[in-house]
Amino acid sequence: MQIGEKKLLKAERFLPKVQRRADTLEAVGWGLMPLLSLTSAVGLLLVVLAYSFSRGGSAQSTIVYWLGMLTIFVPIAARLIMVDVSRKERITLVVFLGMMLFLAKALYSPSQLRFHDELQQMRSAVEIMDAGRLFQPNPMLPVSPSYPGLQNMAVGLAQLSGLSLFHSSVMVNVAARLVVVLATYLFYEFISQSPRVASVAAILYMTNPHFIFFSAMFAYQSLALPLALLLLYLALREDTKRSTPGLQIVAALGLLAVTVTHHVTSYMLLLFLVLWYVLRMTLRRKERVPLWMIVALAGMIVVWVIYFAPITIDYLAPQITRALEGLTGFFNPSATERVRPPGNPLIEQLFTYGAALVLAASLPFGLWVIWKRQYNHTAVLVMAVASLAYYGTLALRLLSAQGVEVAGRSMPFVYFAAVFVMAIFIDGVWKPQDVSLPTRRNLKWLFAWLLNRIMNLPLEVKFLGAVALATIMFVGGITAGWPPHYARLPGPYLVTAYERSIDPQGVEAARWTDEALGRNNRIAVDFTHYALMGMYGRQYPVFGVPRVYFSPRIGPREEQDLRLAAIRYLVVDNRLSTGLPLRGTYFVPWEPDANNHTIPIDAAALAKFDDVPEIDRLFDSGDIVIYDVRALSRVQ
Amino acid sequence: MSNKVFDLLLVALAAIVALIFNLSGVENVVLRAVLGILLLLFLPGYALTAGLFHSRDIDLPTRIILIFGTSLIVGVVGGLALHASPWGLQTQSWAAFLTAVVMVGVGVALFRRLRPAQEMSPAPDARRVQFDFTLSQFAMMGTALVLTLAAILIAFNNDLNQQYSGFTQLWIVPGEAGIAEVGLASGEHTPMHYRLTIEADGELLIEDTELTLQPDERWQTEITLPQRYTLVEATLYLADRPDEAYRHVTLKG
Repeated sequence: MQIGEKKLLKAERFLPKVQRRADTLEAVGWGLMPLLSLTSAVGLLLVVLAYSFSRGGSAQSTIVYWLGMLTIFVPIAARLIMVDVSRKERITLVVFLGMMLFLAKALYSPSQLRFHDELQQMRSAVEIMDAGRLFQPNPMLPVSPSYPGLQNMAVGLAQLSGLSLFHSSVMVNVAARLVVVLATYLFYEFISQSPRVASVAAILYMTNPHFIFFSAMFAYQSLALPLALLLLYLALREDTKRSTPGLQIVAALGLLAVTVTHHVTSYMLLLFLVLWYVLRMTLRRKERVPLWMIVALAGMIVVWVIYFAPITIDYLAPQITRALEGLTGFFNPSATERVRPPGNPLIEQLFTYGAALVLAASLPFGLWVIWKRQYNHTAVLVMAVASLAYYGTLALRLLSAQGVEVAGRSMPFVYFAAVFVMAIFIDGVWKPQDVSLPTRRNLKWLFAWLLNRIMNLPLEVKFLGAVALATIMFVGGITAGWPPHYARLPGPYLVTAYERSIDPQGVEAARWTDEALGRNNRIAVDFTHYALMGMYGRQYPVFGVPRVYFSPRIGPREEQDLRLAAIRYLVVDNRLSTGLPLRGTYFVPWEPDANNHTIPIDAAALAKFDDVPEIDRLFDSGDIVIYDVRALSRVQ
Repeated sequence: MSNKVFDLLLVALAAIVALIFNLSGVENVVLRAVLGILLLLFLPGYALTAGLFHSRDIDLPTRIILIFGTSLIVGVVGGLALHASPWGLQTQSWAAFLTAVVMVGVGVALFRRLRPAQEMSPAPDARRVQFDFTLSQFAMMGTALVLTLAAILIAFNNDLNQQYSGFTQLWIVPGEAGIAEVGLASGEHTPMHYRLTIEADGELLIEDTELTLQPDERWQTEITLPQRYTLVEATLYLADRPDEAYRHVTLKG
């Protein structure tokens, strides 16, 4: 008798009963949804209280934050992993979870912009608002005006509603979040024909490191990704008897919307559709892949890049090249830049790596289940193939110093496929009879032995194990994601710490430059004031002259730096000298001692500008001083 | 018949009200916000979904995603269209464009719904969601809503009232014809008493000025700069610390 066969038989006796209820499309009630809406609301309240405690400097705020986040996630995740849950309860819980996590981000800073990426994108929106036209230059992020989809939505809403641009952007993101959580669920459900797989995959997707904060920011991907997922769902429906001309009209407009909203998302969408088409042709499946969508999207991308966004290539190519060079550099002993371990506390690092390990280890099992179940829809195979990209992003993240950024940005796309495969694995574990366990002959393989052991675990253990894995991924997603640990909770000013460095003194200094100095002056800044001067001051911020700041005096080389960068004004934030930069650098990665600062930047070096006869000290707000250096840089 | 088109008439009415509201420039903050959000994020998607899809073909989750997704798509594509138009992206042009989209969607939907053949067609897969909650379930969801609203209010309140270090801005900006602007702005948390001196090469340009600024209050003046100078400096002192410069700005000749 095969190993574990007795247990299997026992499980099979139990399973048909629950399966009848699990995979049915008939509603069987709201189940625990009301109770879980309450627990998630309690969780949100805890998160907000943690934000409040952190603003007051309480050391307990971190514990309350994690308690709140886990209260939001774990009960819903556990419920969705169960089998006897109706479709409507699953969908409602998925939406609930998605919106509560959105609120957790939105309530971090509900009354003003703080996130650097948002500040950069908002500059484009502000310029559009003023000019009444798209494609206004944005010196902070020059590629942003070429993809104006998100900005014009925010501007449109601000103009129609009278809300501020900031609150308009939040409302647009609310709609986008609703679309993304529903689209992931419906897509997964369509191809797996299982509400359980769909809901588990949908919540696992929410554990991707970008989901809670980055994908809820005012950043072009936050809108493009939901639209792309909606299009994938429409592409699936086009193959059914439910296809209508209306669907094609919406899809065509949607393709255009994605193309003009975010470069990478449109490429990923095209890649997915092409892969789907190629697999369908290779396997000679009968289903119809909307070839017209592939042709239309490819055409739109080419036209858009050539005629409206030629800057895209200059923007993306160096990032990808650097990431790949970093990968090859790992095997080169003479390479100078090495991957830096994350600066998180040890426990957070454990969860970060643990989450990566859980997903990476789940994929082979999920792929095995997909192979054995012989899913009808080719899109399942596309997901299986695409999920392998996760290993590529892991390699970039772990081996390439320059690839961390690219790997991070690719997570929302790679997770989309990878978590589906993991959800199939979790579902397959419950139904061993679908999978036909490895034979005794195959048990010599560790993989087969492990799968066999997992399949034969008691249901309670499988359930607790699945909840634990989902929780590890959720926590790991937060620890690996945004904001970094030192800025995860709002609070008083910290030195070069992204959101935690944005405070009223900096904002008001930036606003002063807009009023007093005019716009688009080239102004030397540190990392924090890059965002502030660019957005609130509407200046042309330049943070590439670190030597001018670090040097003990202004000599010929510093003068030359100012001249070459055509700097008119210079911002000094004296608080830089009070602490080490939490992000590793005060200015740029090529500054002296970048990522290895052991002492703060010298206060005397920051004060040296007062003694230079050609430099005027125009503005002083205590910590922040603004100098006029035009006489030195010879720029008028 | 009225039941079949009631939602469409309501959508059309809301769009027209939003259009009139935006064209007439009536100032009602709440109404404008609600109508603006509806007109951009809900009505176009609702009208087009009703016009382009048979209700029997889409269940509630798909309908919701189509309503919001199509609204977002219309907004993005609409922005491009308005950019290319002579009017650009303005309140009125947005309102007119979106109302037109809503009207087209409503028109098509009315046509489809009022066709006799449509009345006969069954809805094989239409699964109406029953909102059959018990009293205790309602109570739990009501409590959840209250807690969520409380969380939002607490977050806003704490964010707006977060205590930062107070600060005072002092500036001097040279202008045309030997004039410079000197200004002061208080970002302090309490009323502040200051003394300001402005000197050119050690000689007073403006007599000591005693100032009191409330939080968020500003003070500005213009000074005439000497024909020739080496150093013009404005120094601000706190009234209770008269010997210690609190803020200091300079112009060098």
